Amino acid sequence: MKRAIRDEMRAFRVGDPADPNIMVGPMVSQKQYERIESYIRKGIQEGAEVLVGGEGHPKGLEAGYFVKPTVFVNVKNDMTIAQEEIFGPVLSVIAYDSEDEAIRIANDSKYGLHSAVLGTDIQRARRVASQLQAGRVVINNMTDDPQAPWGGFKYSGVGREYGKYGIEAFLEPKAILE
Amino acid sequence: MKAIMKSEKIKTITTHYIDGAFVESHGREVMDVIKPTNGQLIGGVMLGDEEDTRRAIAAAKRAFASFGRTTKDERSRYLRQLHVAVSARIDDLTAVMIEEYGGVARFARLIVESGVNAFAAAESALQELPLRKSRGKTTVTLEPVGVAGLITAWNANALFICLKLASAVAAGCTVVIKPSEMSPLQTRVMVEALNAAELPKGVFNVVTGLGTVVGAELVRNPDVAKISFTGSVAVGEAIMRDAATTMKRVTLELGGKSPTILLDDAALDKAIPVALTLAFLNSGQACAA
Repeated sequence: MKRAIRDEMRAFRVGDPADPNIMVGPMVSQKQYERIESYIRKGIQEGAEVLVGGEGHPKGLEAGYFVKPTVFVNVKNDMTIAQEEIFGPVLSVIAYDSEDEAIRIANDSKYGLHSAVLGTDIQRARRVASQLQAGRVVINNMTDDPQAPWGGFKYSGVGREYGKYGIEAFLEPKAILE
Repeated sequence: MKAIMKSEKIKTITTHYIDGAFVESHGREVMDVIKPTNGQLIGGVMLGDEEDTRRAIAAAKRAFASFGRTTKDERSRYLRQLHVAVSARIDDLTAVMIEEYGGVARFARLIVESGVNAFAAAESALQELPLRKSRGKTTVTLEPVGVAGLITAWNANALFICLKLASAVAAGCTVVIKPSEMSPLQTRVMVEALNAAELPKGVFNVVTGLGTVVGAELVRNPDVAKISFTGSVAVGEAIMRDAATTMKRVTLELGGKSPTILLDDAALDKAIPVALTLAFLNSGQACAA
């Protein structure tokens, strides 16, 4: 698994966003850059292992707000990097034993916006998806549907956008009775 | 007119879009626009103040008197006009998103195209919505709530503006949009595009400024009936709390911490690329990441 991630990460190059071969651009500002860096430091402090990336600017990209796309492994779900929204290219890999435990870990979050289930058995993937507390679950692909509702459970938000859901957010029912 | 963004040219935007025209900002404070790939100054924006916001709200309120009574067909036509007008600027909108925001090329284009598609999708969804239904002696209509304040984040500027505007127009609402103060160059190109759609004046108005100034005025102003916000949990909480004074309807699209579950029968060669793509979407600057 670690080897597979490390290998695949070579495709996620950071650099000039205008270059069509680049997958990760800079953070939007100095403030965001510092925020991401502080999360990476926190991850290391709390005992997670850096598999790819880590602190500091990528080599050759010292100007601007570039961070190293980072993958942490041996992450526990109660670590800061597992619970807080980082808003940068930092992934935490958390191990689980049973399917129930995976679902429990996934739902153990104050957020509930987007999630994904990846697996070969579609029925099983659907069963897992049905138990996730998220406004959207994608199965096996980065699929989108412009008519499907988008929005959060829990702290991820109130209300929905897209399609009829988005329009309903700007309408109010009125009844006239004779 | 085409806005061509060159990093050597410093452009300060001094206007807002109110009542169908570009008008000089009443607020005079200028904020720098910094290019995230190299920390260089590439532009400036004059931040709108409470007065600019109130003018925009007044224009939206005036326009709502008639726009709120438009038919499904009329709104569909406006959505088609918006679709055509924004489609015409896809290249420029993509280029400025790469330049000002640092979004990677392929993703930037996808975001802009999603924004364009939002108008078509809203038109299609509107066709299916029963704005008027009768059963026996009861008629139920779906009424536009009124003037809406659309407050958007910096990580997908074009999409947020188009998506919220499309839904509002489909519903017959007029709007004041407060895009992020981090996105003024992108907003400028978008407003030029939207202006070319030739909607009735005042239907949409755009004021760039700080959330604590322009956003706060939208949230407290009694002439605004609804707030649709995309941004942080902290600001979302403040909006919900402050909106209560005027009993506003509130939609909040806030943060996320998205779990990807790899089941034990997942084929790693397929699953890992998908998992990484999800994690690093928009350079990780995504509510969905």
